[in-house]
Amino acid sequence: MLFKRTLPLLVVFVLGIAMMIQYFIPHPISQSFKEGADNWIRIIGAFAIVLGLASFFHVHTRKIMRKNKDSIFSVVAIVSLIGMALIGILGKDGLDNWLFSNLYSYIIVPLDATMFSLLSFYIASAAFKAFKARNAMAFALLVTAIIVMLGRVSFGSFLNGLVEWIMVYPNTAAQRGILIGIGLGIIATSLKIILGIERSYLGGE
Amino acid sequence: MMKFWLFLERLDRRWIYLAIGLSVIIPLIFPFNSPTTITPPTVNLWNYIDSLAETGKPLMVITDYAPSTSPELDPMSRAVIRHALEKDIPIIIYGGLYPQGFGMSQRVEQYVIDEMNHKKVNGDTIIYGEDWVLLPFIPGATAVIMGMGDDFHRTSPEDARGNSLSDLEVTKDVRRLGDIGLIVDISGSSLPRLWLQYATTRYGVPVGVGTTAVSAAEYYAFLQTGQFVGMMGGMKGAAEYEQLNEDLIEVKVRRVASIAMDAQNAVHIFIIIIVILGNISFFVMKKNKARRF
Repeated sequence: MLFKRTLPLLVVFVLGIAMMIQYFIPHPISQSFKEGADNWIRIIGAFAIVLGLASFFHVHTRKIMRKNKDSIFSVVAIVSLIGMALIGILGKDGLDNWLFSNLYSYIIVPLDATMFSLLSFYIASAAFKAFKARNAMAFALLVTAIIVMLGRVSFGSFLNGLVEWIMVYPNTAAQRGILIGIGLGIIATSLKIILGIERSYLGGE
Repeated sequence: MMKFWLFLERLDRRWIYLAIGLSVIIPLIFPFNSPTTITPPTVNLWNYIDSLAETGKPLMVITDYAPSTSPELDPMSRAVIRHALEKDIPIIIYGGLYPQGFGMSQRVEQYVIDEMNHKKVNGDTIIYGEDWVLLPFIPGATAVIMGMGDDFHRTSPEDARGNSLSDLEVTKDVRRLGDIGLIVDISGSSLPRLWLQYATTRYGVPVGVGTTAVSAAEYYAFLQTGQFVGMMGGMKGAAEYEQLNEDLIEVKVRRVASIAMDAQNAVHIFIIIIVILGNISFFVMKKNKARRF
């Protein structure tokens, strides 16, 4: 109980309050405390990569052991990860490692870009099938979207002024409202974590 | 006529996929060199970077993105780096807070530097360490920005090639983030806000942004307050920057974003047409159904 709950809650409370206070104190002691905390965060960040790798291997080896129909993809994922890591670590020329650079530039980059570009097909299809002016609000959204899209193409340069106005005024007003909401949410959640009200990061609860 | 609207209502989405594919491919094969109109956020960013030549302070270009958004963001990184190198502004290229960002920074670096050194004669080639430096990936996100703000060399003692930052001309005088003239964060995520929150608010370093068209809307709030010095939004922003490079400092290279804008123009026009047709079809069918009952 002490190590699983009380101690983590105490660490979060003390460090949370200390980091909040140090932000407003430009004293060398406060600065040195912050530098120490920064180092800790970077070290823990590096361990998160190790944790991610462990989770990756756990999920995919389990899929391979169960021999389900998609287990071949797990084999590909593990082989790719180990292969890239070995080529990167054992390669002689460091950054100029020919094989590593080419695998990255001619396999990873096109694969990732292709996956993302598929979105445009779905967006176009969804816009045609579902983007209908069913009520006044939907009509306003539709007209605004068409103006902004036209303003973003060469033939629509005559709409540039209107597009900038939409982006700078109505869009900014809405974005600012959302940002203030997010900011208040972050403060509320941080306080709940520091005070031990929100404990889901401990697991379970 | 009713048959046509019925046909549209029941149209198989694979025809739309085909049309989108053709709208992208045809303009790339047969470009129609669409004109580029420059907007204020891009001009502001270009002017700010240009003014760094007088201060002698380095420009930090951050490629905070993964390959998924590289078609839209790579042209921005290239245009900004090319501009700075043409004006002899020292550059720190940093892959940013994403692990994948380092690969992107390396690709962009390779592309521009090869192009610049190919263009110039032997005596005037750009040299690593004197004109630009490439930083490695450092895990820690916010802690990295704050660490750089307090002590740049302690947070990243070496560049990506293992040289000490104190030995390199570009970075030897950069003791903290405040010694950098401008940070340009190129990203399709919300990371530019993180640079703004810490690098600008806490350490007073101006930040400019290059972002995907989808994310651009989010940053207008920060442009209006002057927190971001300027912005390139989407492929159009990159094309505008390329246009400014060509018009104002006579950079004559293959304009990747401007070529891609032809495809974007065609797709945007196609989507607008199908959305309008889809809506007409929706109302005609609705009216027809109401008449029947």
